[in-house]
Amino acid sequence: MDFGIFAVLAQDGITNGAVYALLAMALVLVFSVTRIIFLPQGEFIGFGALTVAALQSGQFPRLVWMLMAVGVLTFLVEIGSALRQRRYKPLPGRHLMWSGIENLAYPSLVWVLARGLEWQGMPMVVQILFTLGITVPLGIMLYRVAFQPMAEASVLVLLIVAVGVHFAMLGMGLFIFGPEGSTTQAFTDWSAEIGALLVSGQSVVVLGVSACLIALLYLFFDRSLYGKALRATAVNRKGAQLVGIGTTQAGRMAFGLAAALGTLAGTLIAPLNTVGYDTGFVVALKGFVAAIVGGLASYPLAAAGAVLVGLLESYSSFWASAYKEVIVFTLIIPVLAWRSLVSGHGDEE
Amino acid sequence: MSADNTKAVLETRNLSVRYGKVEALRATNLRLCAGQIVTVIGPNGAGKSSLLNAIMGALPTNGQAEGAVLYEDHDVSHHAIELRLGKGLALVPEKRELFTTMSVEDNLVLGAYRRRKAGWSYRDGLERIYSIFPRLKERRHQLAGTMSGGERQMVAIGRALMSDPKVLMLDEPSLGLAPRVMAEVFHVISHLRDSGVATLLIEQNSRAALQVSDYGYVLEVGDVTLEGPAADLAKNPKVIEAYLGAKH
Repeated sequence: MDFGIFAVLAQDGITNGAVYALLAMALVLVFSVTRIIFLPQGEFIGFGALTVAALQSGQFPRLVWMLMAVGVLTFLVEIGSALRQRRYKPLPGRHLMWSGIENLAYPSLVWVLARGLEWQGMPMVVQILFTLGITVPLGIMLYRVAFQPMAEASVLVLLIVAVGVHFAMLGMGLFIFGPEGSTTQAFTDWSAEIGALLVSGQSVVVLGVSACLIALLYLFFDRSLYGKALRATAVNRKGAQLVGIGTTQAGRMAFGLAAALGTLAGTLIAPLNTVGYDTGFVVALKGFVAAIVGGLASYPLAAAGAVLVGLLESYSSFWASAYKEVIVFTLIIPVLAWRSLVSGHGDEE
Repeated sequence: MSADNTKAVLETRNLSVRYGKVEALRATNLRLCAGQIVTVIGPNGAGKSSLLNAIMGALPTNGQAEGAVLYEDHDVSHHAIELRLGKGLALVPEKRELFTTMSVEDNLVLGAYRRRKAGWSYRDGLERIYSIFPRLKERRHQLAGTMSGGERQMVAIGRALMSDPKVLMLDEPSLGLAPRVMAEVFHVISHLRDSGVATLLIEQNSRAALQVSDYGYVLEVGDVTLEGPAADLAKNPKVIEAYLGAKH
């Protein structure tokens, strides 16, 4: 293997690794705040990419239907739980009104915008922002419907629920998007030659966007009160409750952020890969391997793990392309062995 | 009931706590007036922590509270923790429950998480905490997990005070502290009274607790067996025998 191929593979690996890093961080975030292994992450990749693709090709973004349907479901769940608690306290009128705005009025507004505006010619950034406006509320609704009622359940129960949500979303995805995949327009057709290496504009955009998002996440967790509140919940749940950071609020924030990161990861890979409703799962699983490297707790280690997974995948697809997935997923075994040796004892819950 | 006619800021009526079939606290009636320090003494397992957690709404999920918790004459017993915090209740739990991997200042700032919208600047709150515990100001950038036991207790109390409570509940604040540090903590508690904060105190160290308190309750296996002004309790032969030991 000469240096040129080596460098091309490295570029590929690091580009993919940057996307896995975003996913790994979302998984670490959701797990450390809510103890949920966020399997439905993959659906946000696929649904996000397909929605951007639909906007670009002038079709109606069908994810809006799902947003409306899940919104109605969420509102019903909200009413149901208010009715069940009515022997303790009066119906929370204000709360239900907000829930109505969030789960019924907002999705309708999105529908009107999706129908009324000409999205095809818009700049890609606007299209992506509009997609985020669909997927982020969807993530928050999922938390309300599936996870909030059992927020105190064990990790295993939460994982089983996550598996259920994953399959439910896959089914809905097949129903609304159909089995065909699509790609989105390239971010740029710029490229440059550095020595033997052809640097593609796509790689530069992916790396740049990922780096910016990671920096933003760092600032969010380090500086803002909400970010600190999420960290506090991850460090000490009881302490967080005692200062008034509700489990629910933290869970909603974590799911909203994770949905955003999943969607952005999807839009980053969509120009080069054909993304279908079910493509995201395998991509998210690679993010999961990276998150495991960080013990589902450390962001920097998860990011490093993501680059490792990306490089491993890229080099193994060169030498043993038939086995590349096997090699990547086998990485989890030595990593787990190493982690169990290093940590030794369970962290205090 | 206590004889005075001052208005209670916190009152429990027939408050019971059960964990499954185990009853931890039976029909407890307790009163706390503004600016008062009330202490609850009793042996381990008497239901003291359950009492505080039930008042705060912070019982573990298998715990069930019954009866009423009245805060300024409003029943808050079905309110979530964040609502009770917003009204003016705050709890310093037995295990402190600090955010160990975050700085002291972050711990304190998060204590004001519920106050942020009320036009209440957390800087003023921080200044107030630092004037009560000057040592925390020196250590404000240190990680809370690397502090000594006494300093952690100060962070825990400071964090609770950041929510500007009217009722501060302290669960075993002297637990695991050296005598000198303990004296400092009690000193702070007795001074909080001057700023109008009512304190509900639970202590193993009954002697020190009764010294700073106005009123006391003795809790045994889930029942209040004795109550009275703290000075009277400290002289009560039963209390002396069971909780204070012989004077040396």
